[in-house]
Amino acid sequence: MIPRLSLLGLIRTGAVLVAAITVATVLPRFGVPTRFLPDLVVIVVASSAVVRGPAHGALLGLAAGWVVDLVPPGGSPLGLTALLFAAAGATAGLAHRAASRGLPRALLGLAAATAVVEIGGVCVAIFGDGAFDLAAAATRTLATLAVGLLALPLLLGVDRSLTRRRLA
Amino acid sequence: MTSVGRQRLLVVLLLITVVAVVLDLSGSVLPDRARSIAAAAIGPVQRAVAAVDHGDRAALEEENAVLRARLAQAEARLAQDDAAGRLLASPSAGAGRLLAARVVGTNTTVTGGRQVTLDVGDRDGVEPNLTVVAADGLVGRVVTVGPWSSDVRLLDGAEAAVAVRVGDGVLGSVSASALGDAVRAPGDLTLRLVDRSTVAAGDRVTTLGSVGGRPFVPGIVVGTIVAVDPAHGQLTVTAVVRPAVDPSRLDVVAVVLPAAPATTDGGAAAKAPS
Repeated sequence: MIPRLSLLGLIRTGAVLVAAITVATVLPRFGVPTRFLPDLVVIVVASSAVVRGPAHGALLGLAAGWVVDLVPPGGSPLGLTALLFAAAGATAGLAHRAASRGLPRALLGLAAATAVVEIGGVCVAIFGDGAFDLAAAATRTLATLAVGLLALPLLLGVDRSLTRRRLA
Repeated sequence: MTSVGRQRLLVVLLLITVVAVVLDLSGSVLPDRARSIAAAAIGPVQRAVAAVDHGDRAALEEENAVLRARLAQAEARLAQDDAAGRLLASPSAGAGRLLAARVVGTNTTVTGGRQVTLDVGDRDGVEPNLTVVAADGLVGRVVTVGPWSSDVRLLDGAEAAVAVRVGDGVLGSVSASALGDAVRAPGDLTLRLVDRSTVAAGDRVTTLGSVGGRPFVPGIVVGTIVAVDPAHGQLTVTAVVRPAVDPSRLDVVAVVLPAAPATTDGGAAAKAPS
């Protein structure tokens, strides 16, 4: 069974690629220090996962993590970020409720996904070089939540209109 | 896509990802192949995106001149020292050609291995294991080279270790991993001395230089000692080194190109990126 990639899926992957390149290249070029860089990819994954549920969130997180691992300089080992973002996407998807599609629930999903990513960083530090910068993790999380507060309504709105157009 | 179909797809993709992680950990070449393909594809995009504001072209050239001057100073200082003079006399250690580069990719993931991506690659003459310097000091060494971009491993990566000289003569090595239960501020490096000598806070740490100048040319400033670890009966003296270059604020760097074998001119002629 070969799954067909819908236009919406392509748009989501494209959005993830743009977010990954923005975080790796554009934002540091504008002088944003690394510790204040928001994780735009997690925001894109969480916005879609909160609308569609854990399985979909895990799939999009997996694809997004692969994109982040491949955009230079990438992660090491290759694929670890994919597993981490799959878990983050699944966690954000747990905040899915068919009845409500509001901003608070989406923010909750984003917060959960960001927490999963940082906990993953702690695990990597345990098995790797043994150093974890707690202050940088806190500022990163705050920056991600702040940008999410601005970006999530936009992303949810675009998602809603695209879905409506596809079904119509 | 049905729910069962989606779950099946998820399981298959998760398995493929786990296989990829295991392959990379066990040193297979397939993940590096995938990375180089991705770098060849995305490198030009990153270069184009990073080159959007070109108002600081003059600043770029000015920094290049500063780098050239400092490298020449460091080599002149070392040429007076007899032992290092022999190292510099080897034909490929007279590296003076700097290739100016800009950082176009910074590692932002929690799983990242402290690398940055530059906008110069194979086509500009970059090879693996070259020194990368900034105006303040050592940045790292080139690890992966693609056609349009290359990756630099920074000093605070887990596997990085640099042979250094403290002050005038004490030899040691600097790496990011701390010994035992020593606590380090983020970004600080650990110096391990070769023999039981005394160093003090404030001593400057420079690269010792490798054979042939690869991966490190001699005389580049690595950092300054900020504290010496108290002796708890360990065999080697260790100290805390604050790096001269802040890796989160890198912008313009230079790759130290090896001296071309046919050239007799040992001067510092910088090659502009193509």
